[in-house]
Amino acid sequence: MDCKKRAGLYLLRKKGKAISIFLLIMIVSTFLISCFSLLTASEKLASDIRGALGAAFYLRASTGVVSDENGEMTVTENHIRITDNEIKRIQNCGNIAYYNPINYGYAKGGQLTKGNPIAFIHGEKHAEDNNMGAVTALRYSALETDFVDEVLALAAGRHITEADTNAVLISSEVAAVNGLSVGDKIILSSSELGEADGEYIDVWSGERKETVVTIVGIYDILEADANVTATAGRQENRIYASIVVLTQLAASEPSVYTGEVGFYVTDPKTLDEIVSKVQQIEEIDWKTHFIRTNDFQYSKISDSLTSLGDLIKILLACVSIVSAAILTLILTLRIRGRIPEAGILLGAGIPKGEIIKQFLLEVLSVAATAFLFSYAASFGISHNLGNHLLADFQPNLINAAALQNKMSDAVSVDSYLTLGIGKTLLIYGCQLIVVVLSVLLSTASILKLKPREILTKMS
Amino acid sequence: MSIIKTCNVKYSYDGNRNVLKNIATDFEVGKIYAILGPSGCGKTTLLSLLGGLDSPSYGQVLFQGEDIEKKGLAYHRKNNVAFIFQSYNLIDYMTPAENVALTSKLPPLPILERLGLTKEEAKRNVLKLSGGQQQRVAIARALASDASVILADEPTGNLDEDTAVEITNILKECAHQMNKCVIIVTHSNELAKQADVTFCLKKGELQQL
Repeated sequence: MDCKKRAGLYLLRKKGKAISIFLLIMIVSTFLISCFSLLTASEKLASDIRGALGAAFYLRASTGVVSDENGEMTVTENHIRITDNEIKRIQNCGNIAYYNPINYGYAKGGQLTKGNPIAFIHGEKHAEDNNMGAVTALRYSALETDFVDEVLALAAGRHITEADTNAVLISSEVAAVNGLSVGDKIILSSSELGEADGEYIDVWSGERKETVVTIVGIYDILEADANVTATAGRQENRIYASIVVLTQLAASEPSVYTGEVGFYVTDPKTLDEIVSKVQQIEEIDWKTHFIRTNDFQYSKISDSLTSLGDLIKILLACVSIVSAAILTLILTLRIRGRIPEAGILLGAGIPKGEIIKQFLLEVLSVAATAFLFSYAASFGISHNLGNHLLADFQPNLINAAALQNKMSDAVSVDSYLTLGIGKTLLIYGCQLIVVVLSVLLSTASILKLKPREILTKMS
Repeated sequence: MSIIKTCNVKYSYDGNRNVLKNIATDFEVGKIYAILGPSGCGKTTLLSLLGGLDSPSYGQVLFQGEDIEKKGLAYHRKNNVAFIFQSYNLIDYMTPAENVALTSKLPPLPILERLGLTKEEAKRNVLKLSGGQQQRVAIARALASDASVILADEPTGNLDEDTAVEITNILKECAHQMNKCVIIVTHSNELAKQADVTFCLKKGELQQL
């Protein structure tokens, strides 16, 4: 009778023992795979969140203090002036996914079809001459600080991206007053807010330009600004526009940016390194410019993610050590309980190798079956646990989709919890090594005895 | 005809005191041998040396004139000898038929039937058989192995008188009709009386009675 048949008979007739080993291996495998799934998911999620959230640094103009001959101090505000060439230099400093230059200006508006002027929400000392809005021209409206900080939120349509040329976002209040909706076209014309004799007036002095723009999105104000300002200073009257709009209105030079410029890096971990490289660019006047960094929400959730990852690692180490110890102990006890059988088989002239092979075959066939069941069980467990533990980490992502529409940027945790076949096989492989070593060690301690010693022990 | 022979075999557990001293004996096929002796005199040790379960400290065990260690003790145990133990030593998760088939390719049922087990008993859990039936299974396993030498250690030690007589007759049949060399280690004078040759092991020396 060969070892395969003996192993088969053992498993068939000693069902209780086979089932208990099966359950033990299955539980251990299920725990290990579930923990590894969670660990992999938390690491992958952290990495993706880092990549999606990104981090940013902003190039801004600094304020200076000048003292005159009499020793009086005057605060002067420097103006940023960054060109496309300098932006390219900065982009070469690291993995920068997007950059978002901003130009500020003012514009009056008119309805394209009816010809009526756009009615802005009245501010302090409102008059027809100061019926204008402040224009923020940029490449990506979703990356604008007020949207990132959720002071404003897109209510309809989509955000402006660098692919747009004549796109604008207006507030829901202005849209409502003027009966405008997404897709409508309006006319913007050059203007500049000034003050004379205590009144807000339009001080535009050059040739007044006009441009037709399309409303691609409407925003809501989530955190209202209580300050009393001129009409153009009100939150509701802000117009977010494609970067070329102010150039078309002659309010800015082409490829020159006078507002702040935001640079968005793909991995917040690299932010400091990139910033230090940027600060070495000599073409930028660092006396009048400075860099402010911002790692968005990552810093808020990175600690939680790290703690969760550490917790899972500790859990995994405990489960691995305890399960390996229990598995080894039980297998050793089981094999030692089979000393008489080993003695009988040795007495019958069956070689030691054949006896070890039989014991191994028994455990390995039980383990293989347990692995199949554990794979299915761990799938359910890890997904349930994962959804509980990781569901809170759903940040506002700055990725390609989010730049278009921030309303559909939730993270699907389920997609992170599937452990790859390679890792699964590795876990099973490690367990098999523990099982094989346990069997070999416990068998070796028996089989190093002479057959007579075993038979003497039996009697 | 000599089948198995000991040549000046000595055995010591501790390297100092020899349990067996210069044992030199021939065992022939077709005969039943009984080895008597007080407990601890080395009877089972001698049987173990003959069966290749252990090696002598000095001397040789020859099977058909060849040192059994030449081809290996496992080979010797598998091909030349078969054991019958007092505690039967059957594998508990195998049926009698499977126990017999453990070391043999011969069909087990005819052998078991010849030794008095029915077909149903041959397929039953081995632990549910009586002591006598279990010993018959052990003998059937020894016979099925086709070994020339059957080494029996107290084969009737756990059996009642009637069953012991039946088992003794089977062993005699093995020697006389199947031409096996049956070597029995026993305390039983009744069993020893049935042997063709009786030895007594005293103070490490084997003396023929």
